[in-house]
Amino acid sequence: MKYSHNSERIERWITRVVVLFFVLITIYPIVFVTINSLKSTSDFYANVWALPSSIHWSNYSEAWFDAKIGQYFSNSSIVVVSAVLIISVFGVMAGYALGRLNLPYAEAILLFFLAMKMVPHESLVMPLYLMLSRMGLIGEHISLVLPYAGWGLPIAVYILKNYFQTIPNSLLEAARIDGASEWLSFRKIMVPLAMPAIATVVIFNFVSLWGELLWATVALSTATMKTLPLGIIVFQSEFATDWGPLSAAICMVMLPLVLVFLFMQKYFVQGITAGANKG
Amino acid sequence: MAQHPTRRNIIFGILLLAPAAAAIIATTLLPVLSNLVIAFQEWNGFSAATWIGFDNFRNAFSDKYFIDSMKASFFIGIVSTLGAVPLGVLLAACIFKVGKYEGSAYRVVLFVPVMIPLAIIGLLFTFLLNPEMGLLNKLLEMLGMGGLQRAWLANPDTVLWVIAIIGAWRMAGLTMMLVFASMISIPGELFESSRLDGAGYPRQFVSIVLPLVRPSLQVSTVFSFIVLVSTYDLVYIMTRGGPGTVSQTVPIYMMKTAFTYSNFGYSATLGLLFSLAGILAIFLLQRLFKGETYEV
Repeated sequence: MKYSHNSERIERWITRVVVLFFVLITIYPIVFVTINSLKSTSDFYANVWALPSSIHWSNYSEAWFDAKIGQYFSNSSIVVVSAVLIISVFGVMAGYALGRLNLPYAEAILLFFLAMKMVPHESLVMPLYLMLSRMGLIGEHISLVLPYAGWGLPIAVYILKNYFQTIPNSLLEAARIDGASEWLSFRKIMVPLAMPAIATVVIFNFVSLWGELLWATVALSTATMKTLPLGIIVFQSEFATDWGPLSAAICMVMLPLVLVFLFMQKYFVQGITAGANKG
Repeated sequence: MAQHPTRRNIIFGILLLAPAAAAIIATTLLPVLSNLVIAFQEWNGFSAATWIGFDNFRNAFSDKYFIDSMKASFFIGIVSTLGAVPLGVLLAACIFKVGKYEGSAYRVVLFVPVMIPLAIIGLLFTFLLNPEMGLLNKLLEMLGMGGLQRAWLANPDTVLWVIAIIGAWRMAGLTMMLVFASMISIPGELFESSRLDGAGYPRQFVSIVLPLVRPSLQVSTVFSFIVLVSTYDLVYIMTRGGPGTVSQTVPIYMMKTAFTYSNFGYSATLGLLFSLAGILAIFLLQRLFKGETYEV
């Protein structure tokens, strides 16, 4: 068969239909939950498929206040923001040291960091719990922030080190000739230039920590301070068949992720690629 | 121009490096070493630990619950990777064909599940698979296939398949994104010249694209497998390991052993064995992808 304009068009339409089918399968569950989060209970039982007869916002307030999603939301925000902040600051420092300062054994140190990333979390959780409980830290914010930061750092250092190495030397030379100290040129030249890589680190870690459950279950099992994924479990067992507020809760957990992703997907995908390559 | 490391530089570097190194050592190296020690002990977490050598390991190999949880974990890991990767490749192939702007919208949508936390996905599907009000059973009813309706998550025959399919649904977008990213770097002339030889798109994809995107294929296969074989969140939210212990994956069994039965030594052993099995599987996967590589 010879190539023709017609067969090109047919191919294009077949592929479009295939993609649209899977787009539908991907997006429909999410749309379905969003629609149901706006329905009253009677609306819901009348017809699961239908659009809400009137927009019913009370599911959201019920989930936020009665089921304490609001409180879990702020707990999660405190923990995740602190961890991401630590990862970025320590990561920038270590990435700069390994990438620009010609330290002896820099490659070996990076390899050690990445090897630490390869350790499966399942075999860390229990010993870490024992360590932190001996120090009396279990149940505190710090018992989440510290491990999250330590686990996120290897990939962050890797991304930032690679980025610092792409910044041309001439900039640093110029600063040095002008008499800038190492510290000054690090803070005033290198850190601002590394902003795109820092954004990748921030977004990638925010998205992966927002829903972390395994360690949170262990570290906060008895605490009153619960993060969102844990709160969702409490919700699930207390409000099992209350679909409206449950759907509203699902939507509220997803919202920050969807927003971050839509506006900064480029950075997130870069993080996944780097993480996948070395993780 | 390489900068020569001066003494001041080295001190500055060590100061910059120290916080990150300390955090990584405290949260990963120390626990993993301590896990290694505890694995050879019998310990309930309170009284003094006793050394028991390889007893925990011997027990593990004759522990039906452990063998079954290994099977469940690897079933989910293998089946959902086998679903996610080919599906992701198909989607990348199709999106490449539909055109730039339209394609980028589809890419965003198809990538959304990858960043939704597994715990939330679990909750979402608990809802969709609910026997009475769930989407799937309602859909079957509507299509006149009411006979196929199941309590999907309470049925021992379906529960692991359902979890594996949800895993595939969640990870397909990753393969799609990575394969697509390497497809756009393939020079257009390769497509044009094979067009002139009469090759249709499916033929082009198999003979030209697949060999060239093998590195991304490898990365996404290994990454999807790592995420899915250690499934905890999804199972915990949807079934807590049930019905019975049918969907009890290794991480679920480990957590139960440690925190419900206070058998910390045994839990550490299970973690060690599971990690070793996982590392072996990843090594085999890497071997599978070895062979001739092409350079563009």
